[in-house]
Amino acid sequence: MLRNLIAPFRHGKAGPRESEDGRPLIPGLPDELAVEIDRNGAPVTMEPEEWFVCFVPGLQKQWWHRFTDPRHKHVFAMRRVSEDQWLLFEPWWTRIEVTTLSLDEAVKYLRWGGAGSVLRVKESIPGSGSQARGWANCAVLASLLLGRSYWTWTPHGLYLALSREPGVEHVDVAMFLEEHVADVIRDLPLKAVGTWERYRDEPLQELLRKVGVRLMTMMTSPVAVGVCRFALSETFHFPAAWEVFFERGPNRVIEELITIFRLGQSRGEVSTTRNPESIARHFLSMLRGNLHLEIICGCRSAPSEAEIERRVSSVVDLLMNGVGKRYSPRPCENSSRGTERMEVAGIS
Amino acid sequence: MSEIKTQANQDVLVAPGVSIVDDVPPGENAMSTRQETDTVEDRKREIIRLVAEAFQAENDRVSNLELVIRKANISTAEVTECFGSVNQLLLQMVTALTDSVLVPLDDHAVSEASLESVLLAFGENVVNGYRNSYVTGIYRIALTEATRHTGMAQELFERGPGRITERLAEVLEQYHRAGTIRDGDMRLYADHFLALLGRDTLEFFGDHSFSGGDRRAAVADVVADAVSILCSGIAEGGL
Repeated sequence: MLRNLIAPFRHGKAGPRESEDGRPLIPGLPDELAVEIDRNGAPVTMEPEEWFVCFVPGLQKQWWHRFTDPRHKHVFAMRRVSEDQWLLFEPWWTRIEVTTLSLDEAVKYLRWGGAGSVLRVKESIPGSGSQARGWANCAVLASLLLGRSYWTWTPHGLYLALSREPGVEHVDVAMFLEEHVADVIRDLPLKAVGTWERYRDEPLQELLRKVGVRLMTMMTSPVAVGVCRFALSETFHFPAAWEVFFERGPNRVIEELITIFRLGQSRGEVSTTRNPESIARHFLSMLRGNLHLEIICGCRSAPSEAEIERRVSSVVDLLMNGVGKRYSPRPCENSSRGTERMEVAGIS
Repeated sequence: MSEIKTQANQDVLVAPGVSIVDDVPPGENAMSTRQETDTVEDRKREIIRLVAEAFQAENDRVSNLELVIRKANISTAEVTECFGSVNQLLLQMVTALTDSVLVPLDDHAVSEASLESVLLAFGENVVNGYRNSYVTGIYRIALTEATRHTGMAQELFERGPGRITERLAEVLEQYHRAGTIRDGDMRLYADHFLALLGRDTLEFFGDHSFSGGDRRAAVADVVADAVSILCSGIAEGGL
């Protein structure tokens, strides 16, 4: 009965939006706005997105928890919007939180979801939900977000209803994160060091500078910082994701750097008594240093291009020649920017 | 050449002579106040020791200090009474660790100790101090705090790696003035040396090379390698 009453007010069910007499179709609204809408009544047509709907136990005791399923006392939803950002929709008692999260922040919510159940659900557009559902608790609001018309007021009720839908998948959070990290990190090392071959004829110091700048730019990018924060803070919760991160991220970079230092040894630029793997790890460690720690701890923002160049120059000069007084850095013959970079580094 | 002090006992988290309580105010009851203060200081040391042990017992699998305190069988109320807050306990742990790491850089004359000997002693302290498994736990808490935007992560950085880098940069500057080190940014040099010791974040979390075998020899090798690179670099026919 109630459904029949509210049906005419749903988008797409009302009359056509056309101006026939030349007067504004809707008072106060330019006609083009009223006309340039899609079949759902929206200015822009959106494809339905997949949401991770998380049915979770409460983080703090609430009086109504005694009436709800032990594992499904609350529900919120999130979805990936870019490589390093997620959108969170979480109904609170006092407000609705809608915000973007970095990967490491999203993982904290997904971990909470893993304590209950996570369903991957495609939203319906324009949907069949209704604002006139009465008590707008988390289950009702999540149902409305997804465009569903389920008559349930509990997270568990919504969970059961969605679970019965074809196409809805249960998500194993640990497995998803392992795949997600692999997906996010897949191209990062290659973008940073995979192209070093094109500089192989340059002196090692100049080659290292070029690779170093690319590496630092990559390591301080929001995507890399997010995945790194996640890997470090959630190591013991998701060891497989940590392994994937380390293998496909830092270790992949180390492999390329080892090849570079071996090349340096074959050309007589690096002492053959040194272990190339050890040097590669030192190089990467020095590039990161305190700067990287400060960034992942949220103490500072990403460095400027000039700061990156200065740091890389300092690392390369120290790695190659130490800081001993007798050393006087030589500008790279093949590089017109060599001298300039030395000056930027403040090394005489 | 003067002897370089090291923090030999790695289980001691607070350097001898390093006070973890405020100075006692002057007054008629100075003696009794001093005794009370000593008791408070002893209890603080004890709490720090117990919490550090709890961190180690958990094998770093915690990112919440309250949980560690509970595992150490200490009440949060007592921690608050002694330190002011749970976060203050964490900050004092980091301060104490930093103090003990910095011992080899205290009060030495540049003319009496070579750069290499100072760096070797200091490097050993850094590696031993920062390889202590409870430090990983502190880093995890710092990362969690970073998402809380409380400023705690910044303070942890400043009291730990930040302060160590600053102090080392001061010492390097002395050697620079004495003509041992070439021109450059001493703070960056200090930063690079600490990274060479494997104290940067990823190596820190991913490296378990000191977990077995001859730990002492492994530490000595790492430090010697770092000092050698800092002083001479890796170039063929290097200095």
